[in-house]
Amino acid sequence: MPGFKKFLPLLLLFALALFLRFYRLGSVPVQLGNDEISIAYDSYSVSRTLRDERGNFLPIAFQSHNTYKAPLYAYMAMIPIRLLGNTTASARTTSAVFGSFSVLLLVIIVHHFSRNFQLSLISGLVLATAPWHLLTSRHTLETNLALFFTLAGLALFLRSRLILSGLFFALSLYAYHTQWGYTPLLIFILFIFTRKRLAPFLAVFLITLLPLSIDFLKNRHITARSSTEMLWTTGYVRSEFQRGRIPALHGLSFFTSAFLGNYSDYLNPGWLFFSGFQLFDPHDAFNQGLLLQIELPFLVIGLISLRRYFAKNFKFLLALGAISPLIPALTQGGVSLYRDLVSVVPLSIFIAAGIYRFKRLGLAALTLSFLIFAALYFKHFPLHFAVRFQYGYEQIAYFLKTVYDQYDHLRIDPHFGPTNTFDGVPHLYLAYYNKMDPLLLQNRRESRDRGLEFAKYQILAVDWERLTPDPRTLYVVSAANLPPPSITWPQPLKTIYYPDGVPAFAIFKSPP
Amino acid sequence: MNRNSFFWLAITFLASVSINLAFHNPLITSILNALSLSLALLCVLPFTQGRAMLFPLFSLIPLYYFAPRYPAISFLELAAPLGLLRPRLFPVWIPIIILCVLLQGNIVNLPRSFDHERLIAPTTEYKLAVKRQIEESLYLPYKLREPLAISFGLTNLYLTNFFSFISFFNFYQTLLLTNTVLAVVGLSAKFNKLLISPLILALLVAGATKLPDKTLFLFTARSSLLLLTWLGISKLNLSPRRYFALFILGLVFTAYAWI
Repeated sequence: MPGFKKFLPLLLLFALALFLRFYRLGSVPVQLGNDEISIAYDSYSVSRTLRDERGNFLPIAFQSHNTYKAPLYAYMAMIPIRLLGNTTASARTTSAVFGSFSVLLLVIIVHHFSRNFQLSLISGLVLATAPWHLLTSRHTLETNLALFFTLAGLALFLRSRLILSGLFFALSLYAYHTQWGYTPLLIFILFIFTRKRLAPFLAVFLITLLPLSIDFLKNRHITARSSTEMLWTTGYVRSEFQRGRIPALHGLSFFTSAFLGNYSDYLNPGWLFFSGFQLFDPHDAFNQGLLLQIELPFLVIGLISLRRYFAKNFKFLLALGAISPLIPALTQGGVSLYRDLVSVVPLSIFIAAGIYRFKRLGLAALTLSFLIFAALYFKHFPLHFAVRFQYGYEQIAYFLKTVYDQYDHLRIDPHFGPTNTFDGVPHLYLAYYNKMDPLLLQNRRESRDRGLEFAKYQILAVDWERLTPDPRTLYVVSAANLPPPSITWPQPLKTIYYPDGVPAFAIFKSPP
Repeated sequence: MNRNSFFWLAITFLASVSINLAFHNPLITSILNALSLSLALLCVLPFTQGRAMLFPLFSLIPLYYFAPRYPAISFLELAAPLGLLRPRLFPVWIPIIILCVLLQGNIVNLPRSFDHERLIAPTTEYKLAVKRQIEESLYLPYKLREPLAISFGLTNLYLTNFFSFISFFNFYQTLLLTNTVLAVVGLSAKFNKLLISPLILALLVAGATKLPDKTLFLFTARSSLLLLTWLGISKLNLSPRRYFALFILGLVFTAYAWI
C-alpha cells in the first residue's frame, strides 16, 4: 500500500493529462485543419492501400501539399483511425495519447536530475497544463509525437538503456523535421555531460536512420525541407552575400543578425507568456501565451534556484534551454510554436523549480491561471476563428454523402473565407470523412481547365458569371461567393454556418 | 578622478560629438548626446578599475548618436546621468525623466497636448473584444462579467505589450550585442535599484503604447543601461582586451550595415 500511495499522485497526474487531452477532442479545435486533414487522410489511405494520397508506396516523406511531411505520425495514426473510424477525434488520438505519456516521461527525467519526487511531479503538472503542449497534443500534427520520442530517448539514455535510447532518438527524426537538427545536438551535449559509451548507441541510431538518410540523399533537391525552410535558402539572405564592402563578411553578418533576431523572438517573454497562442485575432486583448501567464515570475525564480534543486545537473538543463530554440531560429517564416515545441521541456522544468520554491502559492496561482485559460480555450475559442480550420468541409462531406446518388456531378469551389481568397483542400475532407476508396484519389484526374476530378466530384472554382448550368449538378461555394442577383438559376439547397452563426458555405443545385 | 580617466573621458566626448555629426545630427544634439555619455561614464568610474581606455567604444552605442525629435528631450535626458551622480535628488530627476519618456514616446507633444491614440486602450478592437467576452461568459455570475472582462482584458493587453518590448532583439539593436549580455549580468550585481528607474519608467510607458519604438523609449534609459553594462564588466572582471575583442566580434556579427 505505501508503494501505491507514493505513486498515486503520479497516476492522478497522468489521469489529468489524459483528461485535458481527450476532453472534447473532436470539437476543440472545431475541425481538422489543412495539415491535419492531409495527415489523417494519408494515414487512412496507407492503412487501406499501403499508398498515400498521391499513390506513393509506403513513403518516407508524405508529399501532402508539396510540404513533404515527416512520416511517423501518419503511420502511427493508422491504428486509431482503423479502430475508431474516420473522425476528427480518431485522427487526433495518437497525439493525445503520446502527449499524455510525454508528461510521465518528463517526471522520470526530472526525477533523475533532481532526486526530488515532488519537484518532478510539479514539472509534469506544468507540462500537462501548458497551453503549448495542450494545443499540440490536440492536433493531428507531427511535432508532439516527435517530442515524445525525444523525451523517451532522453529518459532511456539517462537510465543507460543505450540501445533503446538510440532507437527512440532515431525515431524522433522520422516524426518531425526540427528533430533532424535538434536530436543530434541533444545527443552531443548528452555525451559531453555524461561521457557514456558511444558505440552501441550510435550503431542503433545510425542503422535506424538509414532509410531516412537514403530518401534524403535521393530527393534532397525536391523533398527536403532543408532546401525550402532554412534561413540560408531565402532570397533576401542569399542576396546579402553579394552586397557590402566585403560581401562574404557582410552576408555572414546579415545572416547572423537574422538568426539572432529569430532566436531572440523565440525567447521573447511576450510571445511565450502572453501572445503566442492566438485564440482570437492578433492583438486581441484575450489572447494567451504558450505558457500560463502566472508562470513568468516562477520562470525567473526557477532559473535562479536551478542550482539549488539540480546540483551539478543544472548546467545540462541550462544547455538544454539554450539549444532548444536553435534549430527553429535557423528557419524562415517567423516564430512557429510547432517548430519550437522542444523548448517547452526546459521551460517547464525551470518553471517547476520556481513553483516548488513557493509550493502552495505557486500551485494555487497555476490552478487559477489554468482555469482562466481553460475557459477561454474550451468555451470561447471554438466559437471564433473557425475559418482558420477550414470549418464547414466536414459538414459538407457528410451532407454530400447523403445526396450523392441524386446527382451526376458535385462541383466544389476550393476557395473559402470571408473574402473567398483562402485555398482549401475539400477533396481530402470528402475522401476522409466519407471513407472513400483511396484508389479514387490516387487515380484522380487533374488539369488546369477542369481542376481535380475523382468519382462524381470536381474541385474547381465557381465563377457564376461564366458558368452554364449542367443538369443534375450540385455546386458548393463559400458564403462570400454567392450567385449575383442577375443569375437566378441556382437553387439554394443548404447553408453551412460557422459556430458563431455567420454563413460559411452555401450549396446550390442546378435547375431540373 | 585621475588624469588617465579624465583623458579618456575627453576623448570619448570628442569621439561622440564626431560620430553624432557624422550621422548628420544637429550640433546641439551632438553635444548633448556626448555630454550625457560623459556624465554617465563619470558615474561608473568607481567600477571601471583601469578600464577607462574602453570609454570611447561606448560612443558607438546607437542610443548615443540618436537624435530625438525635440532637442529639448536631449537636454531633459541629462537628468538621468545626473540622477546617477546624485540619486538622493530623485524627487527632482525622476519627474523630469517621466516627462522625457512621455515626450519621446509621442504621448505628450509640445507645447501641451496628450495623444491618447498612442495608447493601447481603449480602442475599437479592445471594446469589441470586451463586449464579446461579456456576452459569451455565461459561466460567470452576471454582475461579475463586465468588471472581470474589462480588468482582465486591459491587464492582458498591457502585459503582452510590456513583455513583448523586453526582447533581446530590442536591446542588442540599441545597446549592441556585447553590452546587452553584460547588462543582463549586471542586473545580478549589487547596486542602488533607484539608479535603473529611468529604464523601468521607459519600459512601463512603452508597455502602454501601441507599437513602441525601441530606440525612442530606450533613449531615456541609456544611462541606466550603461551602468548595468559596467556592472556586468566589473562582475565578470573582464579585461579591456577581452571586452574589446567581444565588442568587435559583436559588432561584426550584427552591424552588417557598416560592412
